[in-house]
Amino acid sequence: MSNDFSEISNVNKKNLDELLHLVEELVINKVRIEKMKNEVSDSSHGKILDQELRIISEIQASIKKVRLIKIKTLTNSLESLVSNCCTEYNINVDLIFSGQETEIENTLIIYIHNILNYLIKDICASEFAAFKNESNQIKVTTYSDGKNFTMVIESNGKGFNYEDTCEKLNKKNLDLISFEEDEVKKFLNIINFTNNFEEFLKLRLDLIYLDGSMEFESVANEFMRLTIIIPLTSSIMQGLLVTIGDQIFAIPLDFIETIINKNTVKTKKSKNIEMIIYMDHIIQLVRVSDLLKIEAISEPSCIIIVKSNNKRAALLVDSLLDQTDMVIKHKHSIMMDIGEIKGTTILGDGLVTLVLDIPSILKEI
Amino acid sequence: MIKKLSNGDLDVTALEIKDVIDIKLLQTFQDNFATGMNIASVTVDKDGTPVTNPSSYTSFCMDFTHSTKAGDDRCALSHKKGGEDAARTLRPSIYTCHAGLIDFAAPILVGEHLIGTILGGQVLTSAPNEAKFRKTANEIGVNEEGYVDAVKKVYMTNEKNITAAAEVLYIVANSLSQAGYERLKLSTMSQTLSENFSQISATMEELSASSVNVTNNQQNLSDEIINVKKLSIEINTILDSIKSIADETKMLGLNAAIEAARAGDAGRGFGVVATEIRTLSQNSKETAIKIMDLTKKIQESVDKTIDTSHSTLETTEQQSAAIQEVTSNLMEVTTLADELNSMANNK
Amino acid sequence: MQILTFLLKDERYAIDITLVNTIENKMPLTPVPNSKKYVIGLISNRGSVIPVINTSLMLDDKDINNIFEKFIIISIGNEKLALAVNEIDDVVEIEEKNIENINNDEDFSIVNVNSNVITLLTYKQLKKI
Repeated sequence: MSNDFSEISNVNKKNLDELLHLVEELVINKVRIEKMKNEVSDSSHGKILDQELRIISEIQASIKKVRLIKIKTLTNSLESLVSNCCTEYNINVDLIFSGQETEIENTLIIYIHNILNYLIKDICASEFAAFKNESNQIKVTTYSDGKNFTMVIESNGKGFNYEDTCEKLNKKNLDLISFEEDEVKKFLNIINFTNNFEEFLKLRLDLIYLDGSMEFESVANEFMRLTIIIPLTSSIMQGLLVTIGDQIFAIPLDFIETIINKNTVKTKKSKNIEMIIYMDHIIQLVRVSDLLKIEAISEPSCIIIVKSNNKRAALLVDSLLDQTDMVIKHKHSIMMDIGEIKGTTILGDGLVTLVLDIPSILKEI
Repeated sequence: MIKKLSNGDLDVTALEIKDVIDIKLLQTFQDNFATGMNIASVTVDKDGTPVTNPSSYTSFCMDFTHSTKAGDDRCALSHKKGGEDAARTLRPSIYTCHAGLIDFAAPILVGEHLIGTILGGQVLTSAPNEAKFRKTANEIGVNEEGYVDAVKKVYMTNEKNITAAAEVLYIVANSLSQAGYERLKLSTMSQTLSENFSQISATMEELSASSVNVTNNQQNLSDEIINVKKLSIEINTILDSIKSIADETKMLGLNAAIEAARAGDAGRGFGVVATEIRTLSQNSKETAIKIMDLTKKIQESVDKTIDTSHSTLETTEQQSAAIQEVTSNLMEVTTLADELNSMANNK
Repeated sequence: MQILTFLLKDERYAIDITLVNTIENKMPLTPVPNSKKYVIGLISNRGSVIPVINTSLMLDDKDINNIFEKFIIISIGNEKLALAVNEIDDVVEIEEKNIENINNDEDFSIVNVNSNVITLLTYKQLKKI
């Protein structure tokens, strides 16, 4: 078997990061170039700018690919993990790994690795060890639809009673992201994943940070399934620019459901909480200027309905500006405790614009 | 001759009869008077040259006494003496001529100055002494008999008449001369006035023109000064940018020093360059500040100059206006003088 | 070692030049809501978003209410900060032995340069930001 070296390369991570950094700057300039193109009268200049824009888009796409890494790089490590568990618990486990060609951003691979690590250990420990099946099987399936990366880990071990568990926890489903921490602990106790709470909670936090989900399903004595979905966020995304007070902020388009004028909806106030009634939903009204402690210039009338994880809010902003492509840079450590800010982006005019962290805001209110 | 003295007055000594008296009028008067009074008369100038034709001369004088050179000379002499007497006394003098007739001489005066004489007479106050006249005839070379016959035809009158006649002629002639003199004086004065006014007018025009020139120059100067001020403001703007360039250079130099320090040994040489850049920028900045001080001083002095030239401009503009006024007034006066002159010259 | 000296109003300070990236003229910044009080805002510099620190407020907790003219971009760890200062003075060479610590407090260092006492900002101080 000849090694296909074209698939392997040792890229110095630092160099790669620098390259990606520069590409991000290119994207910012793309916005400026588009502006320039509209102002240019000479058609030959316009053509050159068009070419530049095309090249930048292609670089963006290529770079996206560079960041991607195939799941199968984990194969060896997983196999050795399984065999270690076998040895430790004196069981036989078959690992079926499908969708190894699935590509995922290299930054996410470590999360996937950690999750798999933890789960396989726990499954071996609690599902198989006690159950004593003839053939223990762990099926790991991964696939990606471009927007989300999905990984399903299924074991044919003990499992648990899904409906009972839900009832006990008073939940409709077992999407652990929407659980409170103590509820998670309760759940883990029920299914006997008691190995390492702290680690599991940390994994859960990582997924929250990645805006992903983890959902358990099971039929007792048949199987237990954990579905993990992680959105493939490239740091280049679309956002809506709004004004709050005299400042401009960006809201990632992914969270925006719709935009309405405050004057077209009925409002209600109860116990200092303002609400609007829209399409049969009662949605809490959030005055973003209050949240950010910025002085509103005039009575704001623009409502942006955002949604994340089945929770909605009506964000009241001063005005709408524009839609734009933006590169979101992670926020500086000095702003770590400002929950409302997800990161920063640099708009065409060169000024830093803050990007609102919608999931975080939704949790705050 | 009409001559003007240096002060513009008429030169009386140069005046002649014809300057002040209309000779035609005089002739007419003379003829009529002579015919009416039966007394001959003629007017001569101050040199004794006749200016009128003799009126009613006797045959005695015309045909005989004046016919020979000797007689003529004697007449001239006689007339001259009579005239001199009259001139001396400034009054008509009555005398007996060389030939024995009674003559008079009435001086024509301007002030006290003799310009001519009216001579007249050729009459007798008593019967002639024949023997005397025959003697005279022989002396002057004329026919005795004829001479005596002629003398008998000479008009005889009394002294009173003669005196009166002389007086009349004297009064009339002098009135005429006085009037004429006054008119002449007026004419001369008004002409002088006219000429003076014209001169003043011309001078005022020049003054006006030159003052307009001054105003124009003043305006140009003002414009130039404002230009200088604009330039100095431009210089300051440039200096401002030099200062900010110096500032930027200093920053550049410091950044270079930072990079050099981070480069360690490799950056040492570069660090030296960086230091020199910083020194250069400091020097540029200091020089720029000095120049700015200078331009500030220039601006201050320019401002002062502008103030001064503004007030000068106002003054010359006022002057110009005043001159214009005076000129137009003068023109009015000149017109009047001209009118006066033409009135005076209408005799 | 070389230090970069600067002024906060009339007080002289300095920083180890190896911590300094560049110095820049002041530029427009974006304020950050709910941020620490000495964070004036964010600037964009060479592709990075850098927080601007009100240096005097951070050091002495007194806001000198001044117009800052220059930013000193420093690198602490993997991140950058911009220290807002009034005036940049110069790069000078000093002997490490001339650095004195007041009250043996490692965080409070001074050094004497040309008969000016300059407070030297230490890495530790800066890391706290």
